[in-house]
Amino acid sequence: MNRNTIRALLADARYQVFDNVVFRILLVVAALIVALSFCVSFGQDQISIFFGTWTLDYSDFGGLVRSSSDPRGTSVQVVQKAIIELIAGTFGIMLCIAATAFFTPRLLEKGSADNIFSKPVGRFTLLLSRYFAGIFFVAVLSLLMVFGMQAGLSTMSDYNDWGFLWSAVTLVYTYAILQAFSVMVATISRNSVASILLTMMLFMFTGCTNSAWVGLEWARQSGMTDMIEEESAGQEEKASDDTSPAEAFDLMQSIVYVCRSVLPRTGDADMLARKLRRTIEGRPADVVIKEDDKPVFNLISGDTGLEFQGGGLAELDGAGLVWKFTNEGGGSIRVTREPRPTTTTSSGRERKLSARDLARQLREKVIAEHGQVALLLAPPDHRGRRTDWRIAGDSPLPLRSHLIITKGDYLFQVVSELPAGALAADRENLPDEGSVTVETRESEDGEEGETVEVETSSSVFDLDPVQDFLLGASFAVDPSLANADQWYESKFDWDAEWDFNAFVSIGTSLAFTLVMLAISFWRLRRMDF
Amino acid sequence: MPRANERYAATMVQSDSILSVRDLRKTYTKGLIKRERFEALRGIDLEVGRGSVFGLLGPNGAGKTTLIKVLLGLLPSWKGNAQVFGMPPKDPNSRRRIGYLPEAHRMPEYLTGWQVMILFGMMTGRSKAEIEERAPALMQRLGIWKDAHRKVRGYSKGMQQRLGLAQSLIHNPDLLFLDEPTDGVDPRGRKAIRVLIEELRDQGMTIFINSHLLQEVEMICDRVVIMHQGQILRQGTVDELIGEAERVNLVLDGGDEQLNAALHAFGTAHRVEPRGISAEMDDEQANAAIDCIRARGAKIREIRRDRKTLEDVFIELIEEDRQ
Repeated sequence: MNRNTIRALLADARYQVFDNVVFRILLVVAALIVALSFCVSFGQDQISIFFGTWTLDYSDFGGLVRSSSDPRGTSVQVVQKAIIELIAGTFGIMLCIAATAFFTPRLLEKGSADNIFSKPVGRFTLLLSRYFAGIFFVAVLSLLMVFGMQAGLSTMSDYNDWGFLWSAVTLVYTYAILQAFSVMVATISRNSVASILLTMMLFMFTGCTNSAWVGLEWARQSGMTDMIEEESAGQEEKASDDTSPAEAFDLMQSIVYVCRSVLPRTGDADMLARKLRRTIEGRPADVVIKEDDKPVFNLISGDTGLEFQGGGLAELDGAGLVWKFTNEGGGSIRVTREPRPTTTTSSGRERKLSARDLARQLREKVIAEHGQVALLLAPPDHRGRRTDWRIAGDSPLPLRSHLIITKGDYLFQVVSELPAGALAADRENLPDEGSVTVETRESEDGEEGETVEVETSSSVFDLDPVQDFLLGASFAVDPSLANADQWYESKFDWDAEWDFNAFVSIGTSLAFTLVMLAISFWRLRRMDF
Repeated sequence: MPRANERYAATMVQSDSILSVRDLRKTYTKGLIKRERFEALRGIDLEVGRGSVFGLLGPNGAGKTTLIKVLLGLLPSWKGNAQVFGMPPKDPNSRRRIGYLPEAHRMPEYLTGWQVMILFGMMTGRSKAEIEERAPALMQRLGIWKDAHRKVRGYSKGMQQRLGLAQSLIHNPDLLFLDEPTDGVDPRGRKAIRVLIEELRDQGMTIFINSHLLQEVEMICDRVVIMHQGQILRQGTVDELIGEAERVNLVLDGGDEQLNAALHAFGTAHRVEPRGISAEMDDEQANAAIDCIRARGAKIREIRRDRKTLEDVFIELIEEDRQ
């Protein structure tokens, strides 16, 4: 095709988009969001609004932020998620569908179509120009918002998460799928209203289908469906004439499974964004220990200066999985799992010991063996309850840190052993020895945790490698204990099985898009103007 | 519908003709379940040469616009043979040399007049520089230059019509289809368009005009095709259609039945009126009729020559065809 023609069609798309009132409004909204990201600074300890006019402490927020060892990162990610997944990914996409749905019907209107289609430009080319006009509409808004927010966060909060930029791509990806359907409806009906309504219905329906599939699959894998079947089997015996709940459940499952196979997986867009972010961050899980095909320990180590010594489930339940520090000073981190101890209450009932109980027991034991506890650390960000401290005994006893995590029936311990001075770093303004602080905090999962701090003026250690290790570690990630979304997220991956495979998700959605465009072209070819 | 270019090439009667149509048929179907068929073109034959202004006349539903749309490739399915510049109508190369002003057209409202000219010009494959050079003169000529940078949505109907005409000419086409070109344009604008069309014809452009304003067609067109119910009733030059004979009106002062009867011997297609006679007659016949009147002592109050109009011919033909 002629280069001038392509330039003309691109310019036409640009003019059409920039003249659109909804686009202008959304442009202002996106610019406001970007401006806000320049007005809010997420610091290490507090949030500063309008260059210090107001300040908010992280402790004012809920459990998720407060229990995090990186409240700034957690807060920023919560804001990013709310804006991208909810505001832009749902309401924004719906507004864009409504604003661009008339692009194609207007092209096909009498009076307009005669003029345009009499030009020496192919029908499909003209249709594609309208399709890409819609994509351009969303791309400009997405890029402005995502890159603008990133610039704001980077400048004001010194927060650099380049993976966040993938959000712009996934927003355009979601819209591109829906726009193909919108073009198809518009080509067949030549009606903007039909195009808007049906496309929105598809958007909501695919979201619901995906959620229903995830819910059903999660229930099936966590054994809930067995319960339903057992229950319905009982009911069948009582009333064999009617359609049993199991049959209805099977039918519903079949419908959902077929719909998910046929329809585009727009609901996976957020998941894709998270996976892409992780890819950019370069933090794939490098150690996965499974039991009955369920992960019990994951580690995304990144660059912590640690080397895994190997091992599997047997080592986890035995001597422990060991990582050695690669620096000259040596040192190691050992992770073990053992059954969670129980105690009998006064009423005679058996109760699992909490992390707090176990920490207290350990502390008493350490003090008895080594004397004064020299330094206890604030807990790193992690799921579950923990108590963490470092002991500094008499030389040459290595400095040790114990992290206690309770998960279900298991007790995990992460023991760091660091030779004195090996990773030393001066920490200023430490109080005199002997002060003891006991603080109760709520952990991420809403349960109470325990932190005990005993501070001393003795030299302390650079804890970053240990904290990085702990930040990347997940313990007893049992799908059946998580909710359906978390379960799906844990399963969804680039090399996962068919139903959870990111490439399959993209492939089926793109196939749907191509089919929609093919139907549009088929209809357009036969259209009389 | 023909399927390959070869078929067109084989059947093309190459001459000075730039547009050739043989036994062209088009049937519209409506409805998904109960299919209704409507035959819009029923075997059209047409040959149009270079540098002429061709008038396409016919009542509503005669098939004029359908014929144009087939030639522009806007209707994908039809039967027969149609070639434009020796190519099938759907060939973009043929459309590259065609300008088209549709009836009741709508220019994209998000564009300014200038943008319409540039983009629509570039869509024909011309370079931006070429279009930018040509557009101002054309817009000035049609009186829309001062509004060139206003959005089309702010244009009056007449301005939109003129813009439509300007965009159809922006790539200097060899063949121009104008569907009701003066619709909504004021008398001054109409005259400007008429003069422009004449100039374009003189430059060698072939122009196809579809209009209900028969007077205008009569003034501009070299050849006229009259269509009715999907068929061509008659085609030829305006003179050929109207005929050489003129109508002579003799208004008498007095006169009687006998005189009227006597006057029937002169000329043809008489219409006897209470105070005179109207008949198609040549100069010789007119003189003889005057002699006859004078010989009978009747007085002539007025002698008037009337030429038959295209409208008369059009209405007569349509009425005849209906009967």
